[in-house]
Amino acid sequence: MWGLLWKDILYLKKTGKRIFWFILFFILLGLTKRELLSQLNLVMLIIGMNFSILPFDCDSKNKWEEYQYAFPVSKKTVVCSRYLFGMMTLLGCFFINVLEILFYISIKGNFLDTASMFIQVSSLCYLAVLQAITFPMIYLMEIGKARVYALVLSVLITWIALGSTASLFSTMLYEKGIFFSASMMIGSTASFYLLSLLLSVRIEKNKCNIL
Amino acid sequence: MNSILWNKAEKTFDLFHLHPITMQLEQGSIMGLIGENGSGKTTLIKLALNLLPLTSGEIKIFGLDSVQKETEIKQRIGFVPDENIFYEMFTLRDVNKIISKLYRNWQEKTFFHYLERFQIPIKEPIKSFSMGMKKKVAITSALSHEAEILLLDEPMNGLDPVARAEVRDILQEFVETESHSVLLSSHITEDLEKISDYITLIEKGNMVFSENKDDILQNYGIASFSKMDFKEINKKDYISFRENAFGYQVLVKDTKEFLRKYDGAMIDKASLEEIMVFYHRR
Repeated sequence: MWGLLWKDILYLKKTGKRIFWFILFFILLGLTKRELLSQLNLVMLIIGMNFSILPFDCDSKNKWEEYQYAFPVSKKTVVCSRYLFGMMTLLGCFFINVLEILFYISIKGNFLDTASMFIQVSSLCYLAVLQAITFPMIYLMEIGKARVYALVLSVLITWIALGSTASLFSTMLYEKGIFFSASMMIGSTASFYLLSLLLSVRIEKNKCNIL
Repeated sequence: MNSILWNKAEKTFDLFHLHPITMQLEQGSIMGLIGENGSGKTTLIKLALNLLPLTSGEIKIFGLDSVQKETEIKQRIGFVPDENIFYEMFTLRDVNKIISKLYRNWQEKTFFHYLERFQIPIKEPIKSFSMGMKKKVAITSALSHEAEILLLDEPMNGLDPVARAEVRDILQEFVETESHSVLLSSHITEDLEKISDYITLIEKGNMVFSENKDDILQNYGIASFSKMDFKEINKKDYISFRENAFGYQVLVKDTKEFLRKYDGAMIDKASLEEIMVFYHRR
């Protein structure tokens, strides 16, 4: 597992320059807009989503996908390592989020209100949900197709479901307070992420059996 | 004792069928797999590694089921695929870091020792390597985790004669340990003639033979005939024939038996390449 994870981390490290310019570009873009914080959130979402998917792409291009099972790794390990990497990108995004807030505070001079803090947590959870939708699709089909399908599905889910979920959490936020609401949101996201992991393991195991 | 046993191992694809194969790789030996492109050599290797699931039959490695004990078995197998699998942007230091975490018995010293022996730069990205260098990297990786079996798919592809000789030496050193064994497929039959103990010929998804190399080279022969004499030869007494400017040549399986039947026939020793070509013409 650690070898596979290390491979993805090394890959990310090699593409580090790209990440830096990517972040800088969006921050500069954000500075030109009024809604700096939402702009920075968008940066985080794009970075988190893109960089969690990139290793899949690289595996496919380099024949690693075809031959990785020649190494002593099980299908479960391979999928788990990818989800762990996904979680690491989430963690990375969390730090970017913290930096964003500090950056925001230093520019605006005032601290974030409860609602804004909640939006920050929601963005992270939304990113996790996006990963949880996309990963099984990548295991189900080839990466190019999966990316398109996942994008369409994510937009649809955001449009249809997230509206009602957001209002649910807003009510909860108003009635129960930020800690309870945030815990509920993180908890449900984590459950969804875990379900997605189990589904991906199942898909990968079945896929290898019908080759 | 055998290292790998293919027991009626069969694989069916839409356009290709590897017919049930029963053969074994003996401990302490090198087996060469020969056959034309698409004959099923790579499939046979991939089945052993469970990279492809069997349609029927079973494969035992170290006496263990190749599917049930997959990861345990793979700790003890070194594999060289016919193409580079590492990310092209990685250096060999990166590769070392990754693989060292995948194998229990990874030997960093051995890895860098072989790289030095092959004169491969460790700081350059793999994308700057030639095909031969990439092959050497794969061979080095396979040799660096105390594997007991090496499965090599076209390891000599892209290697110059000097490097091929070096790889042959390394493989022979490897099987000096009695529990070690090697299975390698190659189009360069000359290499297999030099190092193999056993040869397996696969033709259009069928195993033609899996025999001791010395027996093959001793028994098989190519008999030459004039057009007139060729008509007298019973078709059952040869495997296939080819026509040339001087008459006909036939591949015979048992030279002594053939000479007993056709006294005075001119027979030359058959090389593995000739045997492969004649079988293909069958």
